[in-house]
Amino acid sequence: MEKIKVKEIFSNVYGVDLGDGLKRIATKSLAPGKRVYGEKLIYSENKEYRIWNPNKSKLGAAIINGLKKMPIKKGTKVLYLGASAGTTPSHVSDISEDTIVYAVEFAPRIMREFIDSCNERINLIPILGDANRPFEYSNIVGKVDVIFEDVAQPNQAEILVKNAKWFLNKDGYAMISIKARSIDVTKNPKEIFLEQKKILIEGGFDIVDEINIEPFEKDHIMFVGIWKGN
Amino acid sequence: MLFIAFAPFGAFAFEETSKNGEYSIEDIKYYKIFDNVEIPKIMYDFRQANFEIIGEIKKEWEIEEVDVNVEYTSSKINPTGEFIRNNLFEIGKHYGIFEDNEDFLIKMNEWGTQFTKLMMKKSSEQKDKLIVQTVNALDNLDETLNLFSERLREWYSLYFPEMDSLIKKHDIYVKLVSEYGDKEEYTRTSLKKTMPSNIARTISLAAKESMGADVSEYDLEIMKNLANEINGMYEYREKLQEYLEASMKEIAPNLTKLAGASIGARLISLAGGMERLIKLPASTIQVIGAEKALFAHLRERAAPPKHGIIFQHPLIQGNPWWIHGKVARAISCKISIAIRADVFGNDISEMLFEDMNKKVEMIKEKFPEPTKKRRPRPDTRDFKGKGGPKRDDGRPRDGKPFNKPKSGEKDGKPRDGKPRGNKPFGEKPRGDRKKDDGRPRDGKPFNKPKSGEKDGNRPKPQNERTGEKRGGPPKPKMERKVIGKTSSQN
Ligand SMILES: C[S@@+](CC[C@H](N)C(=O)[O-])C[C@H]1O[C@@H](n2cnc3c(N)ncnc32)[C@H](O)[C@@H]1O
Repeated sequence: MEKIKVKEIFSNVYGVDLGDGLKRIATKSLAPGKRVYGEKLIYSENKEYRIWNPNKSKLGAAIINGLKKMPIKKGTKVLYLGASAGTTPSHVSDISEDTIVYAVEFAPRIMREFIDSCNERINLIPILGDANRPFEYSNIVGKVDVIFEDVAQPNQAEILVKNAKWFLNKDGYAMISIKARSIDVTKNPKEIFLEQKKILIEGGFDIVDEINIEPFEKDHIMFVGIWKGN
Repeated sequence: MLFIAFAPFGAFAFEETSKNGEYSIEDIKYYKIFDNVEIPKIMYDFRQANFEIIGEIKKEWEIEEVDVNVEYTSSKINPTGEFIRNNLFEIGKHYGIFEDNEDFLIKMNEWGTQFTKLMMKKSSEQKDKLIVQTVNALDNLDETLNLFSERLREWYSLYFPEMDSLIKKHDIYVKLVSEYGDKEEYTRTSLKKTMPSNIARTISLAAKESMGADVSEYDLEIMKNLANEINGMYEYREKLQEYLEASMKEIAPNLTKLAGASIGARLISLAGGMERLIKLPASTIQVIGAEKALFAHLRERAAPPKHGIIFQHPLIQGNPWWIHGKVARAISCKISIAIRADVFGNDISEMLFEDMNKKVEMIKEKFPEPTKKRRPRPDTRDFKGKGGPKRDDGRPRDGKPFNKPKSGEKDGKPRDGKPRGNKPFGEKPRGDRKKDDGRPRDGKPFNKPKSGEKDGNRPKPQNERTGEKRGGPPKPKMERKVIGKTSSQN
């Protein structure tokens, strides 16, 4: 077997070289021995890492595609909107390590699966709620350093702005993954991205990065913004 | 003006002072710390827009007369809320809620999880009522489909009588009439597209040599219209069934994995909801559906079933008769655990499913041969493969409904056994339909009691006996009938 090389590329995010020339990333597992979505586990210097599959996680894809600055680090408080079954939230929880990650998801069926992964990660707080109505979880969630949103809703940029008003620290970051198809199938994706960007800027964000995540997802973009609003 | 806002662990208030948003813990004028175990419930009440606690707090603080602004209720941010969110951990620590960061995470995780489970429970409670209605609608639809399909058969038989005995399944019969209608259109080439070529040949030949009367184009058009309508109902039935499966997977993934969507839904429906189902012991679950069956079968002088709706489970249907009772007991135990897991929001379906299969394997190994004599009651599998009727549609017709490919359950999960409604049609001994059983065949026997009415349109037990010879399993059908009645009584 080739020797596994693990190198930290962002805080708590690792580049992994399995000796086959493929670019891989991983996070140090907060719940050793447990897989969340069938990901590969590797070991280096007595630590367990979970290979982060960019085909299943848009944040993973964005990092592989050259995200310049990674706002989620060890110690950042995160509000994650659209947790789904927990693929990306589990990596986010690995990265934050001993800091709270609030994860909001509104489909009870999916929440059921997600809640099991939260069992093993005490920093991951499951909240059944609608990201469209931030006040509904305002009695649970505290202020955060980063909001990550992946809800595939037509009004997702507005959702982000609303949540930022309630929960995002000034100069905190937001990351939002936008799927052109879930906003308007008939329009040109580029146009949609521009529109959404405008909503974010008018809502109070400075957009500092945008990453196309093809080929992992088609017509998908991720914006990174800094919150100047309130 | 007093500004009130909530943290997970308590309520806090302060008067707005002009500190430019620079507040400190000293500014908290009133506070109430919640009892640790009540926190998830308080979060839940809030989400249900039940704000009784606010009245209690105001009373406790003796501020009933004071003008207040409560953050959660107005969906507007207020300064107290901002302060809490900015200092959630610090405030908690100050009031002795959290010892350190780890304690904070553990408690927040626990509260969030409990709260979310309560919310999910609520959503499934509402959803199970939808499921009961869906099951009832499916039953009504089946009755109607049966009735109209029979009507079409009789009607269309005036024109093309041979097809009645060639096509046993109502849905296929209906489709053919709605698609072809005119006897001249039943050509081998076009029939071959949807069915095996030998059957296509038989039908096209029968159409050519048919002894049926000629009818006008207009008469035929009317029959075709009826067939179209029935066909539409079959399509709707399919949608309902899909909806039922999706809803079942959502509210009861464990139960669905173990029992399949149809049996699971019927258990919920017969028990009157999930909440009531979890209170039943496994031994009761084993016979749910049978009490009523007994009654009905007494009336129809048929042997009573030993098991309830569980009898339709593929693990029972697919195993030899002498272990049916043991298997039924084993799977109802697992199903009973599954239902509880569903209500408490845990998904342990894979594990339960494996356990259940293992258990059944053990029973099979332990009892390879019958230890007792077969009861006289005939079992459908006795006739499996023995000179059953010709297949009319290329599908296995007799005795193995659980082999039927079912949409959405290709992955080796338990199948529902009998997709209700499809089943009886295929089994129904069409050739006997016209046998004179002393009852009026059509129209409602209006002098009959209401509950018996439904039975009037169903084959009599003797017919079912005959049906067995033709290979159709009669028992599940009887089950079905009874359950249909029961659930529509709910
Ligand atoms: C594309 S998936 C997210 C996948 C996840 N981010 C990951 O990478 O593992 C979108 C999720 O957002 C949820 N969602 C959609 N609208 C929502 C809303 N208004 N509030 C909360 N969750 C929402 C959906 O139920 C779905 O599970």
